[in-house]
Amino acid sequence: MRRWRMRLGATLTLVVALTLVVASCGSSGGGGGGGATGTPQKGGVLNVAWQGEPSGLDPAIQYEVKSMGMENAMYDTLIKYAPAAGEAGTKFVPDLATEVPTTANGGLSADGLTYTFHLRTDAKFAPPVNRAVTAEDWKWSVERMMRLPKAPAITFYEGIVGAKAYDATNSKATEITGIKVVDPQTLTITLTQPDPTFLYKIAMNFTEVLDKATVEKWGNQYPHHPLGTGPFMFSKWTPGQEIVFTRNPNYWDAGKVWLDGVDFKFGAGSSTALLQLERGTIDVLGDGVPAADYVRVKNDPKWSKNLSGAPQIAWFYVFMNTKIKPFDNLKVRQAVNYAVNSAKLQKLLAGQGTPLNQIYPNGMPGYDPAAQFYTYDPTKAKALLAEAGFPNGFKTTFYTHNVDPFPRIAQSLQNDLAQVGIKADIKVMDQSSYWTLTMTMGNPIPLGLSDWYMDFPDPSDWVGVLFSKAQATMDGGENASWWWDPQVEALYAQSQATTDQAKRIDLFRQMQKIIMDQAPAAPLYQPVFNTMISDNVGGFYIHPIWQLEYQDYWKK
Amino acid sequence: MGKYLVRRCLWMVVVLFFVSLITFLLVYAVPANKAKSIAGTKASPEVLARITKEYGFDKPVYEQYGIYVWHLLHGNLGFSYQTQQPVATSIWQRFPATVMIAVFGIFFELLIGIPIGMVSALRQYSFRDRAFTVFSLLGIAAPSFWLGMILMYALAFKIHVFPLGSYSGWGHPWSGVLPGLTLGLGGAAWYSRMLRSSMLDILNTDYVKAARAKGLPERTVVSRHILRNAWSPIITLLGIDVGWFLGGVLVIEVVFGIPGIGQQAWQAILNQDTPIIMGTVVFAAMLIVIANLVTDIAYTWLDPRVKYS
Repeated sequence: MRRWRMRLGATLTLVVALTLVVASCGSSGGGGGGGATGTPQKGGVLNVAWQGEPSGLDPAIQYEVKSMGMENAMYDTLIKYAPAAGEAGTKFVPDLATEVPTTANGGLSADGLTYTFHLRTDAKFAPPVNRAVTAEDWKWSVERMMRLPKAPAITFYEGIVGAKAYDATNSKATEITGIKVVDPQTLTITLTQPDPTFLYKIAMNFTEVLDKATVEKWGNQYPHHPLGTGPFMFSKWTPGQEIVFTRNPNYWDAGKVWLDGVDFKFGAGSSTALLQLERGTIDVLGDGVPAADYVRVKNDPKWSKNLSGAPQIAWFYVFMNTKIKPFDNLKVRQAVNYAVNSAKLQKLLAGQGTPLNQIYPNGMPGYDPAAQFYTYDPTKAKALLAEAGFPNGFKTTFYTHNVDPFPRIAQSLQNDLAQVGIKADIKVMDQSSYWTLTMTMGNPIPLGLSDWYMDFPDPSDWVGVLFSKAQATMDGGENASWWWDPQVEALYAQSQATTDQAKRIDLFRQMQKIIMDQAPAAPLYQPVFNTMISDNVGGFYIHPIWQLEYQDYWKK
Repeated sequence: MGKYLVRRCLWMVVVLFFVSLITFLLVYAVPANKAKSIAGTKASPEVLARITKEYGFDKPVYEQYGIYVWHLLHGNLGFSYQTQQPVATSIWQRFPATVMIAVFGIFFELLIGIPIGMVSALRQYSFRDRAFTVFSLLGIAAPSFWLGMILMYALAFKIHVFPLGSYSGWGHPWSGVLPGLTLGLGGAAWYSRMLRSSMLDILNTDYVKAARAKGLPERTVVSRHILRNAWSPIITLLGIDVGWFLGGVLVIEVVFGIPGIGQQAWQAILNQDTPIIMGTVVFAAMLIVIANLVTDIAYTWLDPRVKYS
């Protein structure tokens, strides 16, 4: 998933944030508290600041971290990610289903094709619907999603028998035949072939359960009048100002929901939101701590303990277009990898990233803490360039979009490349145009910056998207290097045909070795989400998937 | 005058037509994939094809523009690609916040700028004139986001006089004062300089000398003979500012968290939400054209020598 959908207004925010560094010298605020400690208590409303509002709250459509977190607080699906920080948060726990299907509990057939889910009997839709959730509701929600023109992720579910025929243009199919409602509390899902990542896809927001009557009542205005079965229910949306959630009295696990509600406040830039938090009118910074304020807050004894940070399962990297000279030359690509000054980049990022020398970020299965493919070595880079036939370097163009931190990183890398003789002119484009161009076959970008945030914590979401033949041979593909390797393709096919996770990780590490050796990309860093809470918030942690898990926090 | 108004109204239509055409062509010229902007980068080719057909992106640009204009003539600004809300509704929902900043901004511009301009002109080269000149230069030079942050930090964060970056609607106009003051301080600098030079031009005219020679009180000379004739550039500035502010003041809206149409337009540009971009630009252009028309009419009221035919 691209970060760009999450970064509205970031350019202006940076400018404003830099101003605040000056304005806030010597600032003071409250103190104490925060964090995950303390005894939970009921009551209170959590005030969360986001600069921009979500475009809607329809889980079938919206695919940005802000709306996904909100949807997670007001909808349920069959299984969900465990409410925990770090790797524990990437494990599954039952949600509307009574258990996570496995071969051992009979939920997954021996051939890996059929999943059986038994639904809880006490799950109900929020008022005013108030009726029990059935297997038919889940099937209807998924079938609706698969035919929505704006649904971004239907390809995730096309492995279900009959799904492709159902979502095809002008299809006459009346249902997805692979989803069978056995009885109101039981459904089975049959796949065309085993998919080791299928449960990840089921745990995503796209399969969250909606009430058919409510959706039909509101039509295309439904995203602004959502209704689900989760811990909170939608109460009010004042455009551009706030969205208010209140506790769902029908929630099946109400005992674990502490807050009376959540008030999402929009409009203020992230620097203004930080001031609001220090003043006590905001409890959580949804957009995180502005980069320009991070060091100040970290060094402020009154507020540093209210900071929370967690590496995101994502990476920033330089891609090299192997269809354009001289990046068709392996030694040139390797030279670029050696030219990246990671230590300098870390200083520039000031806590917003951690070093990364491989394609998998920490937290992604397949990440190898011992791996060290390339280290900063300008001498070696120059030698490789000389071997490649460029003893005096060469000129090229380095593309980037205009939203922070891309331009800053591009300037740093321009300097690194110049140190080894590569004179790169930076070309800055607006985001939309930039991403469209990188995904256009035969594009003129020789060298560019990119990022990738996981859709689900499985390395197939990296190799299958960023380094696959499929994505390198289609217009609109995400493989910006337009590089693929038959050996990687064979290993990838093996990884998708087995559910043995240990074997899969081994295969993905082999793929990583080939990719790093062939160097179609140069890893830069793993981004860190740094946010801050007020003294009044308890139970706070950053979830690896949703970032903010509103239903687990409480007010002191 | 009647004929003049009719002609101006027809010109308004022409201006709006060209504004919409140029904006449409600019948005169309951006090499972004609109279907992808709507469905996200994960969308399959089938989904993109479906969206392309549904939204008519596969039609030639002149046809797409023709459809847009046809809908516009029927009062339909279209639906946002992102929110599916009618564009007109979205603009009207955001407009009150923008109006609030505009009203306070213009109020402070006049409240601060006019007295300073008058004193500077009437006491030319005095200490106060020089001090106000420095103030004006600072006001013109200071970026509004910087000024806004400084004012907010001082008057809302340190001293709890104003709300801290939270807009609460017209029911709580206090939340519009600080953004308005930020706009007003920058604008007041221009107003004071314009009024000062305009008044200085008039101070030495024969009719002012004659008024003074007649023994009229200075207050009467200033209000009836100097100020009335010095208003023209102020009215011109005012006309520009009204249209400009009502079209959305993005930076002020972002700094103070005002959910106005400037923020909406900015987000729409990032999302390639063409209907919102088009709607906002056409709406803002309309406001500017109307404000200019009102300004021209105001000239005739202020200065009987001005005649339109």
